[in-house]
Amino acid sequence: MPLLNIHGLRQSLVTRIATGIGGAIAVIVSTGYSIVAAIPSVEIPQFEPKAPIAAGAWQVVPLHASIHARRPDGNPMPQGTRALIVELDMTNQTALSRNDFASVLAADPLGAEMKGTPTYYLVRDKTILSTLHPNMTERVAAMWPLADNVAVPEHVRLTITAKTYKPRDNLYGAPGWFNAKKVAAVTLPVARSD
Amino acid sequence: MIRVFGYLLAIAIAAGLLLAMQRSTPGYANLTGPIPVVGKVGDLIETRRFDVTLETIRFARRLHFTRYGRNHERDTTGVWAVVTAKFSARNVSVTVNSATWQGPTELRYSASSRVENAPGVLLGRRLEPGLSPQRGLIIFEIPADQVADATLLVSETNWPRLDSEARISLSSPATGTALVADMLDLNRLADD
Repeated sequence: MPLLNIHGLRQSLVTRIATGIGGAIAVIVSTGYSIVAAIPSVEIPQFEPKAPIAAGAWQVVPLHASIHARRPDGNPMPQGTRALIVELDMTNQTALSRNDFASVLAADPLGAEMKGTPTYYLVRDKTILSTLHPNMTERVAAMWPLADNVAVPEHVRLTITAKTYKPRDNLYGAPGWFNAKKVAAVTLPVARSD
Repeated sequence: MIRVFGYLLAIAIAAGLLLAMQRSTPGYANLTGPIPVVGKVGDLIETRRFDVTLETIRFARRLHFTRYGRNHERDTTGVWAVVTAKFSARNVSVTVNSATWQGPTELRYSASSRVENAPGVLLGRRLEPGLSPQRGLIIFEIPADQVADATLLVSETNWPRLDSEARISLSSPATGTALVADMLDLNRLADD
């Protein structure tokens, strides 16, 4: 019987080294991820008002922003609120009639007073916007309710979100629009009309 | 050495085979897509659960209708296409909710929701088997260049899955020499 089990020693050394290398790789990769995540995201390109912005399925031309006592459909706002209305031209760039325009526009970062997605109106009919058809540009009014006790902002900064077309998605292999990403920002002066 | 080479070859062949299989698999949308039933204007087109007949197609720059005592006028940057059609259920109660105008370049225009509350609108009406067919209007808002050589797609839902879709060819002369009226009164059309 040998005093030292050479074979067993070698085996355990190999195991320890392999574990060490694996652990080191894990530490390096996770540190790398942390560093990449900490890098400030790329500045969103700033656009001038009335410049056309390509946003995936949509083309958006922000025109002007204003404060109104009435909604774009002509009805009065609820007591204690005003309407911040942003008018824009929207064109459906795809081959299908679409109604997924709600996520395109967001106010940023104006905080509590302009939360959430706006309500969209079709200016031509003074009704809620329901569908936009391919290659038919429409004037659209996006409306955020603004409480009376909140100071009216001088400017409103809007971000435009675009999605990317995938002919086959990863789950079903069906075509669709995915990966929402902010592609443009535009600052509009807020006019006080009434 | 030869054994290692053999392994690598086997892996490469397997990878190639998997890639070929992945590339040649039809997509989910194709596999579960609509089952077309083709026809033309005037034909009785029989789908799985309903029958459809297209009668006439009219074009106009503006539409007018009265609803709940209020006058509505709808203009457009393109043209309005007003289709008169007849729907009937086959053997169960159904609601036909989707009609699409497919232009010559395969752009798809769903029926306009701007005239949803106009009189005589056919989509969304409940059809009962054995009762006489329902006649009414399907209205589309389309650019002028989508008028010629179009196809009308009619189905129960917007995205029929493994279910019938009527595909009705609207090619000339029905739409080839399209006469565009300045104004159409939907109340009058609905009463016809």
